[in-house]
Amino acid sequence: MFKLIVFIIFSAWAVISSLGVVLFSNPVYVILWLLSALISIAGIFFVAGAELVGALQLIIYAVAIAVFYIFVLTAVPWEKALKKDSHYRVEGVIAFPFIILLYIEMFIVFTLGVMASPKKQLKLFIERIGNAEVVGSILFSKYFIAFEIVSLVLLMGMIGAVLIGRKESQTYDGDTS
Amino acid sequence: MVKRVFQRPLNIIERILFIDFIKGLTVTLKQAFRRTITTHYPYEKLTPPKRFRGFLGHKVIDGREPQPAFNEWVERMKIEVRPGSSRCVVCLLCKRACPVPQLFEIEPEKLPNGKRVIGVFNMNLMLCTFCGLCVDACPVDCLFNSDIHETASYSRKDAILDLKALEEIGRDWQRRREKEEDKIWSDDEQRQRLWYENDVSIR
Amino acid sequence: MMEIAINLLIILIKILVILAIALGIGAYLTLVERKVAAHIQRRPGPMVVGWHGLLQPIADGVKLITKEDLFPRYGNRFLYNLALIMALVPAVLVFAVVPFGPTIEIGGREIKPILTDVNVGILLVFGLGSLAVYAIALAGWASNSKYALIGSMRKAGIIISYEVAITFAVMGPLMLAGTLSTFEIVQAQIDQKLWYFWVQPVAFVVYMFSLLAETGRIPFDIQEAEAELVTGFTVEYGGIKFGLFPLVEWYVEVLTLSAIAVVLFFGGWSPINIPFLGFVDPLFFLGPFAPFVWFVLKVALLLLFVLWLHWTLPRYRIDQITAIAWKVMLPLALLNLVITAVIAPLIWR
Repeated sequence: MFKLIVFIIFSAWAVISSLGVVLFSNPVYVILWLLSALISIAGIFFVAGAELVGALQLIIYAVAIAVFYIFVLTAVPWEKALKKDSHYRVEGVIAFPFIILLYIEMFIVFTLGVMASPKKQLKLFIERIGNAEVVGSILFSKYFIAFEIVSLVLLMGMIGAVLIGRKESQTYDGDTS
Repeated sequence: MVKRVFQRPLNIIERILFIDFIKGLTVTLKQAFRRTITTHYPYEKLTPPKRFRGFLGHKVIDGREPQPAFNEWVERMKIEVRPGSSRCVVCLLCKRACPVPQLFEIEPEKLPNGKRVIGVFNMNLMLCTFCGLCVDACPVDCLFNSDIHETASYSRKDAILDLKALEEIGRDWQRRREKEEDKIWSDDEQRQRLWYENDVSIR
Repeated sequence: MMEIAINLLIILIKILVILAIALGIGAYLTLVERKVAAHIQRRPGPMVVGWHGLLQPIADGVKLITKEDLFPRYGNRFLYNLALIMALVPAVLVFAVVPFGPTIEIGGREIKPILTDVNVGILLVFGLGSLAVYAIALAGWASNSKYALIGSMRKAGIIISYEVAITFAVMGPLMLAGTLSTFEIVQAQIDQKLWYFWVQPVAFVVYMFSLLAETGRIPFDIQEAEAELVTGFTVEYGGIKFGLFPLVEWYVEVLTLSAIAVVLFFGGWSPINIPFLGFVDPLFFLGPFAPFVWFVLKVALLLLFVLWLHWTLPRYRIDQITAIAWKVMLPLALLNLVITAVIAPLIWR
């Protein structure tokens, strides 16, 4: 009962924040609404008992990613921030079929998943060993290959970024160290 | 010629163990436990050295005027000598020496017996930079810099010293510091004598 | 029903205690900092208000509250005020996962001196702690002033750089403890008879660098470099609004990060440690209060160390700061992680 109320509060908050992201025109306000939405989703994770996912949501999305948006946007001049040329109506209308398609896909996947796993099996698993351990053991047993491939891709991305960002000629390094 | 000083680059052990950080930290730690060297200002005041250039004042006639300059100037400017009042002979040399035209306002007062005496002597200290040129110019050792340095006041009117205030500062100075030896910098002992004996109040 | 009421009461008391610690001690740290700075420079510091200036923070607070509230023209009033809230709230919230001592019994009831013992406590600390960057970015943008904007951009750049380093630095102790909950990390150190500082000195150095950078302490106080930026992102704030930013950034955040450092590296409330042998407790006569005293003592010493550094070192340039973060601290933290993974089985046993 108590959980349900908190869940409703968080989800209402998430929906309102998402509407705010779409409807506001000042980019800084939009980022703040996005932040609010991300925090509320982290709250939903906490209510559902997935503390690790909630904390990661907070760290990765709310801080690391949204900070980069705000980092860029605070450098935007004041007059440009108030222009209302960021609303694309035609594209918005076209987007609706895709949204419905995605929802149908999510529904199918969810029902399939529920049918696939016996009732309460996952929940028992979570309760038996703590939350972070569950994620770790699943990552390193069932999804081991996928995990390794993803980390390899990330490593390549990191090296690529370093290579691209490297300065060829060192202009002022010698005299100011 | 510019002298170039090259800093020795840190070696690897110093880099790893933060040796230079530790050196700096020991210095500050040592200083932190030594006695404080400050004066607790509104409650304790240090005496400035005698050559300090503070508020200006007029020395009064008390028999220690520089002779024969004083008698010559008194004769030349036809001044009536009144013991106990300002030594000023209204020569206006201080006004000429001053870099600020409007700072001094000096008027003599003519007496019925044909002699003169200083009547108005106003100094607008808001314009003053305490450079001491007027003091150097004074031929009779009348105008001088005292050691009064608390010059803050609540209104602009208070920043203008009239003849009465100048004479009062001068009497106070002659009582306290006149006989002191003239040195460029006072000893620590004398300097740390607290400034309680100053009882002049200009306001 | 009675049970729920008592539990609520306990939580309420905990919240009040934490608020009092965060804001009251935070305010009094201003006095401590002024005294430390003064004595390092051979001054006595504030002496007039109260005995040796003990009432000075209250006088400062009254002065700041009664000051006129100024607002920059063409600024954004909503964001300007929101920045203040976003600075204060996450910094105080972090205290929710700081364990102050072992489980105690009052009236037959076991009480953990920690507000919420979430099992991802450390992640929450860094998630909430780095939310402070929004406050700074917003404060700089909403003030409509170039000094504030430059200061906030610098600070945001520093936080983004050092957030990575600090996360990798704490991975070492986490790996040794095998848990993310702050309470259990301390418990693990007591069980293994080992402060993680003895095996993780590199991680501790990286952590301290990141602490100084995230809280804007010297040598990394480039975001408010007085000589060039006036005071950085707080230029346009006045009165108590100006007072709150340094209170949060310099005192509350340093306090929380020092407490977390004590939890991670110095065994929380445990007494002095001899590695792998046991604990020596010179404060045994305090009985059940000894763990709390130990915790407070360690946090205080760490905090004084930060103040001591602040008043000793000069300031780095912004490019040097970020270069240290990415070229020195991050590789060091990663290397430490690898070495820890090798030696961890020895410590688990």
